[in-house]
Amino acid sequence: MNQPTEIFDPCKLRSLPEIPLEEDLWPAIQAQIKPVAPASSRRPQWLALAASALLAVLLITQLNLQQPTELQAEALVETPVEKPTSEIDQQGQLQRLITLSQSLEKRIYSPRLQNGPVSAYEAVVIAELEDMIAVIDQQLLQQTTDPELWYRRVTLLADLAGVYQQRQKRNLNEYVAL
Amino acid sequence: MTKSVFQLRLDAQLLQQAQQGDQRACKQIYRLYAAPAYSLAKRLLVCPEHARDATQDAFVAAFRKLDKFQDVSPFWSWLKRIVSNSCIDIIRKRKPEASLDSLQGDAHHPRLADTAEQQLLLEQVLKSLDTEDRVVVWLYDVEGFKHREIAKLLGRSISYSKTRLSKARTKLLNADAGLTQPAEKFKAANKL
Repeated sequence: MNQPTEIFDPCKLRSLPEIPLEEDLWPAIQAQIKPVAPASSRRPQWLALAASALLAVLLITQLNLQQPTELQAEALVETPVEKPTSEIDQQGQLQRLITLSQSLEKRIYSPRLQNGPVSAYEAVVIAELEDMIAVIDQQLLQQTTDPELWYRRVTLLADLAGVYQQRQKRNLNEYVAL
Repeated sequence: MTKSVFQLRLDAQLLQQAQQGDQRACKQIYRLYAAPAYSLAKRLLVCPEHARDATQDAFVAAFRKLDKFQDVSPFWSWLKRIVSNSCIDIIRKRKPEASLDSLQGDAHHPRLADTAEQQLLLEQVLKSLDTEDRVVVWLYDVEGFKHREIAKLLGRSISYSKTRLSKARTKLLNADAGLTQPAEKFKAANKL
């Protein structure tokens, strides 16, 4: 293949701009590529059982040691935040939204580090939510006190916490059923 | 446009992780190359839906055989062949009524005045070319494919690729005739 510098382009086609891709194709691509673990990475069954037991202990410990702020965040997962409507509401809710955002971050931190099984659907949802949060975070760098952005961040974090919570409960149930 | 893609270097660790099936690494690679891949597909296929399908198929194919990629050549050189293959597959599957040949002859182009207009005209004429003419001229002039590679992709002979290239360039340059002397451009275009 020719090197870029050697390409002869009499029609100046290379001057044409790149055509942007509006749609995110990753979820569809991800759904079609199945990760295949190499044979060398497969562990003996006893190791998987030990890992499951350790995970269950961690889950139980965490559920028992939830802090009040985390419980507050948990309630938020099931009760959507009211969207601020007026300017006064927005100013009043800003601090509350930031606090809730921090609480949810804490709540998500531990389950994120755990290595429990994640379904393909959960993986897609988690990835998408994290992407959307990253976009909001970029916008917050420019507008640090925009209540609308904080509201959207809290809503997304609540969704994410909900996914992790669902996963935790499922893993715990699976362990109890063993 | 394509220069920036050539400059993209795939981090060795990222590649290794993706080759081991790490979804996050695959996603990062997708994010890096999605735009140029789609842009290439759109240039070849014109139809946005087909371009999207070709891009998606290409990434799926690329990730499935990522273990075969060897980091001795730029990643984009490898990926764009896969994208081109996906596009050719779609062209072959197209029904006759979906052919872009109907777009031919729709352009009575005014003389151009500035770069933006030139680009717009170029876009229009490029779209109006026969599908295979467009594929050949884009892969040869922009992506740096050789005639034997294009011939193999299209299942045609090398001379077919050369003829198509000459035809496509002539059409593109004729539409752009007001800018320089057509005869000079024609000679330059066919100096291979």
